[in-house]
Amino acid sequence: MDDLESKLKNLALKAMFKLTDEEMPAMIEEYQVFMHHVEELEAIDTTGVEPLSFPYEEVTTFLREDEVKDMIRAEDALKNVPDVVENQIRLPKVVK
Amino acid sequence: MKAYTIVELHNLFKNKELSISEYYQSLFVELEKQNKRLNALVTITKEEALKKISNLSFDPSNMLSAIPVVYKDNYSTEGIRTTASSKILDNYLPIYSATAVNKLEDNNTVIVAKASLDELAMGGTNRSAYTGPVHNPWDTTRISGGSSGGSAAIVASGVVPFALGSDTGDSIRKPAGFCGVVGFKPTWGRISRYGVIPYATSLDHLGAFTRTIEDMSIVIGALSGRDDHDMTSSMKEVPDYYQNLNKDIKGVKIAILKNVYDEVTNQDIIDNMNVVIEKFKELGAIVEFVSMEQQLMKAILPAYVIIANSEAMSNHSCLDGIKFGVREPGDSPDEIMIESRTKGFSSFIKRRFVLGNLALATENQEKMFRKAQKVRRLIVDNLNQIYKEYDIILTPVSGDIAPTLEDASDDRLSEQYLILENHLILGNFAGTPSLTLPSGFSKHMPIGINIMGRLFEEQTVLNVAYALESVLPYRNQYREGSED
Repeated sequence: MDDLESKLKNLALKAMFKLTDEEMPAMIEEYQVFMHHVEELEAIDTTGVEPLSFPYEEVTTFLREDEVKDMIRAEDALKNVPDVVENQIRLPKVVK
Repeated sequence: MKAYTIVELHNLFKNKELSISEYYQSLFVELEKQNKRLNALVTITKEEALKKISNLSFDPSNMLSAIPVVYKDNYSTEGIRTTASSKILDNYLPIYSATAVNKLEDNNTVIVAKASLDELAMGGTNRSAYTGPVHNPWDTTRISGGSSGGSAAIVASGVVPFALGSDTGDSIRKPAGFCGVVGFKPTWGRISRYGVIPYATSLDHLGAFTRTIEDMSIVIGALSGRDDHDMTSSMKEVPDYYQNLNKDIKGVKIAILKNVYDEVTNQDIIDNMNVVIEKFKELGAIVEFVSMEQQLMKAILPAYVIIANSEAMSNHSCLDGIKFGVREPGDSPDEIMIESRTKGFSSFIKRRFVLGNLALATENQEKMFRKAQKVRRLIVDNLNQIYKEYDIILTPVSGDIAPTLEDASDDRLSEQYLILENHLILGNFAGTPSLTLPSGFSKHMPIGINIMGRLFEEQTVLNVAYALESVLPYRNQYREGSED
């Protein structure tokens, strides 16, 4: 496995999934296009330009009163959990 | 089955010329038939809908009362399966509904189905849906476009008057063009996104598909407004878009984006743009060509790819098979997560997440993610220069008709798409209201134009579209299929 394949597989694992060898050719192709995009952006002078994190800057946030609201009942929160025991999410033991 | 608009249906119900229960009986027959043809739907909610209408008290003062609606399957619907067309969410039953859903429920609409999308809304063809590709109602060998392809196709089939979608790059406006219907995403912040499974938070917009501008103004009016559950939603007052609809657009200044216009090679689309320009002039608008910096236009796709994939990677870290979704077995919590995500995502999605992770890595963040955000600011500043002089920016939706399923590519990273197939992203970068209107045909397939206005000037966009719709023959167009 060359360095690039190893790097991409490692990035996938950090994102908590595996890439198979069969998936690698398309991954590499897309990586190369992506890096070309990065180069294109490098050619644009952004000296003194602030990043734009949202489309426009308008304050829509505020500190609300510290009151309990929008509670989710434990029973509801656990409705989609694949494995529940005594109102808890069951997972394999971490310490063995 | 006759395709009704919202306004028509409302009047038929109000005047008791059409029984609500009989209408819904025939609607579900047609919905099944169209879904067989188009594969546009993930879930049909017949049982829930029939139960609702049996208890529904029709409100003659509310245009949306008893009107059927289809949601893109990334809108959370309490107790109704919401998959985002991804295997990892195949069994997910939300415990709450999106604010947009609640708002329409408050208006007594009736949910009839959840529509297919590109997996996690990441794509432009609707071929990556876990349930398979969606077919275009005008030619089922062709794509619907994506990512809101199921919503676009089902409205274009005529079976429902409206459906909701989401738009991160052009995911409402492009499929609307390919399917020959109206597609509109209002200003970023106009509609609460609470409860809609995100793609890229700084770019995601909600919106709708209809077949008339009147219907669109009704739907958008009902969806808009502040929601404290979405802290990015605007506190600005919502005008009555429907009551304020006005075809008088004399003096409205329209800019044709020359960078896009010059790239079109399909003669039908060039001719169609020229017809539209002449129609606008006849309506009294002032139409002129303007240009943006070409280097920045070419940077739209690169900046988008980096920002969208990075934000998507971050947003979807919650899909782990532990709290909800499909869980794969494993000997440790990490193994469960890794196996669930490995088997739950398609290869296409995994590639996008790897690239997003690459751009967010500490050593790359400044040169990739932050750089893209800086270029985004330059692009938006350049666009806003045009809005200092013009009310509307007009472009073709696409350089061609919907491609066939075989020819369509989910991979929008390639060079050939640079400007012509990606300019609608401008509306996501800047958050501006952007509407696709059917404007003609090429090779028997619908084509459309895009009308983009200033921030929060939805009314101007709707009025300009309303005026153009009135002088073109494509209002309420749909395609049931030849076997009908």
